Amino acid sequence: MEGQPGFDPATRRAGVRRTVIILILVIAVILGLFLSQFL
Amino acid sequence: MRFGGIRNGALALAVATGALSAAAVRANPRPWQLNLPEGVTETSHAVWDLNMASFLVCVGIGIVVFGAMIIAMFRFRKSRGAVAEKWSHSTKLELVWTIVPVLILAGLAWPATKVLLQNKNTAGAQMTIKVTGYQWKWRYDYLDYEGRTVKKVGFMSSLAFSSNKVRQLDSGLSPYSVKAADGSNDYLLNVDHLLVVPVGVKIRFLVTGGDVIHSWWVPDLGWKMDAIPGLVNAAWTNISKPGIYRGQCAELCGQDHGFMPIVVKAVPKAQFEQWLAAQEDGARLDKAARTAQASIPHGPGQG
Amino acid sequence: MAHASTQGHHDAHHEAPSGFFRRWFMSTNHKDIGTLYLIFAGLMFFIGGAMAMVIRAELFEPGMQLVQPYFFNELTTMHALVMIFGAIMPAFVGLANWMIPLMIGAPDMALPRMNNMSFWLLPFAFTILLSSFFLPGGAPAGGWTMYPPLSIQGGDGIAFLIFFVHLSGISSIMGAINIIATILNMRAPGMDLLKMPIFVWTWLITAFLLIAVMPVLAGGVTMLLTDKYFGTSFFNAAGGGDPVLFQHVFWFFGHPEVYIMILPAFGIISEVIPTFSRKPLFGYKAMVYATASIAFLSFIVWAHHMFTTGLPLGAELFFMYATMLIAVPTGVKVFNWVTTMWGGSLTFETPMLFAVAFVILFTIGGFSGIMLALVPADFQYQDTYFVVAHFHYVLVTGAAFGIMAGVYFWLPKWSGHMYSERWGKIHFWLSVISVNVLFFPMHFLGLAGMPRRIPDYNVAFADFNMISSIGGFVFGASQLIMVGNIIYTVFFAKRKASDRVWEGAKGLEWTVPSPAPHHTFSVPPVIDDSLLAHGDVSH
Repeated sequence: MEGQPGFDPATRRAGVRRTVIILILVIAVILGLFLSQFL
Repeated sequence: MRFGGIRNGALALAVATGALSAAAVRANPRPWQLNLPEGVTETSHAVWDLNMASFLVCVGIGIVVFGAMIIAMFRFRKSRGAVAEKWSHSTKLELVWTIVPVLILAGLAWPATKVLLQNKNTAGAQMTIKVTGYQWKWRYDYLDYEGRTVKKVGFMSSLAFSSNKVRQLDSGLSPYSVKAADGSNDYLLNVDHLLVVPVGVKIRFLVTGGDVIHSWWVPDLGWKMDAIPGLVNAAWTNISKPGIYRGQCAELCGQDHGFMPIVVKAVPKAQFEQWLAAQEDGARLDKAARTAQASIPHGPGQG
Repeated sequence: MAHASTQGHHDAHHEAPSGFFRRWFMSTNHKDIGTLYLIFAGLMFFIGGAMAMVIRAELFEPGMQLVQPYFFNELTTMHALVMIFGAIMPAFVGLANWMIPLMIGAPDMALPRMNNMSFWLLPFAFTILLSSFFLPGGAPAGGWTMYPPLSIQGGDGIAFLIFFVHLSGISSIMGAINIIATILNMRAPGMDLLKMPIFVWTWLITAFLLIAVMPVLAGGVTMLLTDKYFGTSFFNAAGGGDPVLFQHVFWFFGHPEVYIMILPAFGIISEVIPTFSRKPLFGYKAMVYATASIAFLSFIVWAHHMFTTGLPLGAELFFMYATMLIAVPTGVKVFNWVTTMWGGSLTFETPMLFAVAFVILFTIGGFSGIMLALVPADFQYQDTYFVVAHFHYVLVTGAAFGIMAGVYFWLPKWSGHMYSERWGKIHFWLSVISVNVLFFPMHFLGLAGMPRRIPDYNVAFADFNMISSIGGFVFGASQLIMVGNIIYTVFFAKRKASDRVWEGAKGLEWTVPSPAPHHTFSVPPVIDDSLLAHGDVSH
């Protein structure tokens, strides 16, 4: 899904950062779509 | 409208089972009642059939699945010396037990669709009653009957005093003492003003809410409809048997949600027409009296 | 195997933090945070359970004996909120925290500090919610479903509820982000996605559901807030709005929510049954696909909670068909569990007893679900005790029994001691019998015409209500046995648990010592496929 997990802390940290950013964007899009209906 | 011809053997069993719980058509819920009432309309009967069909399908699936589990729990106990097999997948089996349930469900969806289409079809209604839900009572207004507008026949229908005094916290009075004219217990299912309707007439109900969402439900008619402020829902019924049919509000609406019942009295058509005429006369007299009142000077300082 | 013991040696260098406050209030350890969630959930289970006991006491006989009708509505509302958001969901998060890093060979969750905040939001949120009982207007009393206009009437309890929803929603969303980030990035080498334990899969999918729907709930309740306090009319017809809009928004959250509450239980059962059958889970890939199908379908069935609101015919047909369709992948899972048992070598320790009960009783809940899906029949069932029976079967004998199975299953790993099998079995039998006495008669009550959310009823409903209440009292009391067993196991038990604990157990989590050291897998383990439950990639 998100590419191969890395096994050293640095790769893991980068991967986690990427996952978190993507998920927060997803939430922002969902919320944005929802709230935009009421403008 | 029965969806005949489907699983006749099962239906026969269903009828037999149903007979245990719904032999005669009763209007009140009965102690130890296990099943839906068959009711007094085509809709209520069709829904009852659907209920039995889906129930029996579930019983059938349950017997197979639980049966297999119970057999497994005995046959494959370690204490009995069972040694575990190694296999762990079969695409063929997954396909079978995906496709077969789809077919079974389609078999239920087909009659359910037919009944729903019938249920939605308010065309050809011969009279219209408006139902408004309030906290915590119902209002009924007769709008039209057999093509003509009905003049000012409307009233509130609230929980009867006999129930209302018993249900107060620490009343010390017994719910078992609240009895209808025929001796049956109608605690929390009786009202001061009944909704009188004719038998054998297609009646359209327009249901709305006056404050919060309520829901108008008489099990013997076979449906419920939410009473929502700001919109008007339409439903219909055609009652086949005279009698008294009781129901309750079916959407949480505040503190007395459990205390705003519905009582429908279905009478032969001729009797209904007499009743309706009397109500309209009463309304006319009422209005005349109030108009007369208004033109009489009321005393010093007015006129 | 040799690797595991070398690991324990490395990890023993890192002990738990000294100082009670530091360890328990500022934790960054998935095991301790998991423990916090589980203790919190247990406490909330008893608070919600106490409310249920009052409800069942009032419903024991016809007539009003104990509480006023308005307070009864507060109780039913808060009972649901506490159980759903305080007991079931946090318990599953606690199990996720404890087990996911162990199962994938990760040292901890991806975001350990955020993990701690996710937990500590909950006691704060629930203090706010429960304090609403002491407001002048009382606790919210419009049902956990909060339908306007009713939910906006009354006092300020609804404001507390809305604030609570925001806080616990943020907790859930952060937890879900953490779980996804952990599973996707922190698996040990060789732990491919299709070799992960099913519990990890079900939580991965559940986390996506949480992220998709919790923001929608937040939006919906904020609209309720502005309608009540800031002059908007989203749900007020007089102002041009529509009460039914709230129901759409709420149930768009609400339906996936119930799958959020059951998928982790499916995962637990998929761990327990193969272990005590000494046989691999049947159809691993099918189980993963079925779980994903259920999650996807859960987004397109929400209006089956609204069949009586006067939806257009096309909508009713669509939602009926989609709802019936969900039964298919769910059935596939049940068939796979049974087939796992078939041909196995079965023993019936307490976790297995709860798992077997889950399969049978959850399926019964599923049956009433199929009946409810049929729209014209639903016109009779909606808002009656038939629905109450349905959801209590899937949530109590489903989700709650799943949690209990998981707790008994993993407690030896957490604590290092075996729980009392005798008292575990007593707890099981008392629970399974009383829970059916409590909830089965509710099917009859609903069919006979008893609406839900009412504090009093006609005498015809008296017999089954009394039976149900008796079942409720016994069920409630029986849960104390489990609490006792847990306390005994953690603090007083002598019998040590081995690493593997259960003869049929397979997976990385069973390679670490019992109790699991404070830090595990600081160095990623080398994975031997034969160690895993699903190491065989051919399925």
